[in-house]
Amino acid sequence: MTKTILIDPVTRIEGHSKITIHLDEQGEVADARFHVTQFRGFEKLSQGRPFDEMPALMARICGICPVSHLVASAKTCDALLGVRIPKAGADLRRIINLAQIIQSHALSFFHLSSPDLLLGMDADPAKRHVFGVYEENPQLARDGIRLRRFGQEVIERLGGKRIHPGWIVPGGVAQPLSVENRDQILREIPEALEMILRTLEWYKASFAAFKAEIDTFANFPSLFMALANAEDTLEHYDGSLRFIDADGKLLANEPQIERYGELIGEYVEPDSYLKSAYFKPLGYAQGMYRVGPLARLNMVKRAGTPKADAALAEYRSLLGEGPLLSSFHYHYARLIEILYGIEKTEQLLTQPEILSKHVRAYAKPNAFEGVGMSEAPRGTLLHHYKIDENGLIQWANLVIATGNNNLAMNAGVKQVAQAFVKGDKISDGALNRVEAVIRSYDPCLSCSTHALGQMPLVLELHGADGDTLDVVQRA
Amino acid sequence: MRVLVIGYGNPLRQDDGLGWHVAERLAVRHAHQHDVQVEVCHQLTPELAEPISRADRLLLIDVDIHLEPGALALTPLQPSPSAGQPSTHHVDAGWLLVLAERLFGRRPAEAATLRLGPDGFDHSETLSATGQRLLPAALAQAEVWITR
Repeated sequence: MTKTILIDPVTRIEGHSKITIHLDEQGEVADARFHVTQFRGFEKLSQGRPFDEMPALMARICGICPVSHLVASAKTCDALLGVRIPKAGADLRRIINLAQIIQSHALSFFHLSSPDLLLGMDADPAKRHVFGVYEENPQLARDGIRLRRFGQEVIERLGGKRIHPGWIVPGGVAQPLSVENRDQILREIPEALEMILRTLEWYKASFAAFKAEIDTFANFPSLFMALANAEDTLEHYDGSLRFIDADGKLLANEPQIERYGELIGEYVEPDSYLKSAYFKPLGYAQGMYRVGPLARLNMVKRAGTPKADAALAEYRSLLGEGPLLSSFHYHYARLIEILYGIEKTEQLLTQPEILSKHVRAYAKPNAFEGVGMSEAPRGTLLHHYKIDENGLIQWANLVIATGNNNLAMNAGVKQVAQAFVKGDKISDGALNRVEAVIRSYDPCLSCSTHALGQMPLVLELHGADGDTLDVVQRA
Repeated sequence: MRVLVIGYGNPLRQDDGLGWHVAERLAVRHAHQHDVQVEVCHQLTPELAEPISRADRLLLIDVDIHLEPGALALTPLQPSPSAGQPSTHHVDAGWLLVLAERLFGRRPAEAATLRLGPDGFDHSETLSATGQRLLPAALAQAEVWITR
């Protein structure tokens, strides 16, 4: 008798989703699917809006990573204007983008995933949450809160407010950086470094306990995609669109990002509002790829800053050279990116020209179509707009980081379910692991949902003979 | 005596932004006072625990749907260790006091909430007529609390 297990909602992620697990006649997992259950419609509702409203509008997609959309949208508008923005403006955008990554990674690691990492996947659900972390390891909790606040305060000092800052605009940024704000951020760097280095030490001593999860959390060959620079160091703002395979072989390196459509295809499954992106030259199923911290570290030779270089070298000495394939390692990769983000922020702030008053280029539209790309906390983010002669949006397409990971998330859910969900004895820990593999990707579902057509989302628990069977469900 | 005022809410949802609007005005009035800090935010989050731990007196300002439109009420705030299901999108005010003490070793000796009665949550950056009439009274009440 077949059976369907429903996890609804998936907990400790951003946004709304559910997971269905289908058991065969022998009680083994036959299939598992990740369904995104929320619809936003930003690509549609932006039609008819003046293009220079788009950064502010697109920032409202998300309250966790609005800066990512501001950056990608502003870069798209830069392409419509046909401008080259001043170096100080570009570097200030880089800094706020890194601050976004720092605070978002801190949220993901400390608030969403650390309950599993500290208390264990099988811990009592009544305690396996962020407040359980606060009680079990106050130092880890303090560091998490302070690191997140550090990133948020950098955003506020540059952009004027922590959420939806309107400072990133077409052509650059709205205001130069003041000496006072620069100096205040620099004063906070040493403590931020201390906190992330302490967390890295804790994590290195802890993750070995998760061998079973490392082996089964989306641990399979896939392609990887990220922005790349000529130095082969971490690149979050500009660069080429690069794909590598599971062995690290270069498959594509496209500096003209407006040609992304030759490399990225999108498909809509009928059971989710999340589009599935794939590497077009290999087709829908074979072209599965991953983005985000794991992909970015797989792509580079060095991180690009001293302490992060050392941390990356140690990460590779512990886990192996070449692309890492287990999505469990997203957690470790996130910590290294936080370290890099803090160091890179310091480097950029200590350049004298960061205080330049020349931070914005001005123009009228010089193109009817533009593409902008950046690295968001969760991976590569792309905005693509078409405008008419009045500068009004005619069409928009967003390829969101989490959508880039959709195929891999689904494959990961199935792999974990097959490893840990057995027959008619379904433990809370097993179900938590199914959720935890999704958490390792740190999906932002509010960002990523788009609809093309209907979503016939019908939840049923039934046997081979059509009778309703037990439902295992989380409230 | 260090005073911390936190006004929160969504300024895009009409009267849900009342706490935000009150706090914005307080921030301007007290911009040059070292002993009064005003935070304006969308919601209460764990990141507020540390600044709360440094304050001697804490005032939170937000709407309360259980109040009549246009009403206001000032009530003491007590620590509440078991305040509902935790979420990183929103934490209970009383739980923040507990968190401040547990993680940072201290909480304000006095804490209060200024609750404001909303009259609409439309998609608007403009307060309702009731909300606009309530704003000066809310400011005055907050100032009395801050300066006593």
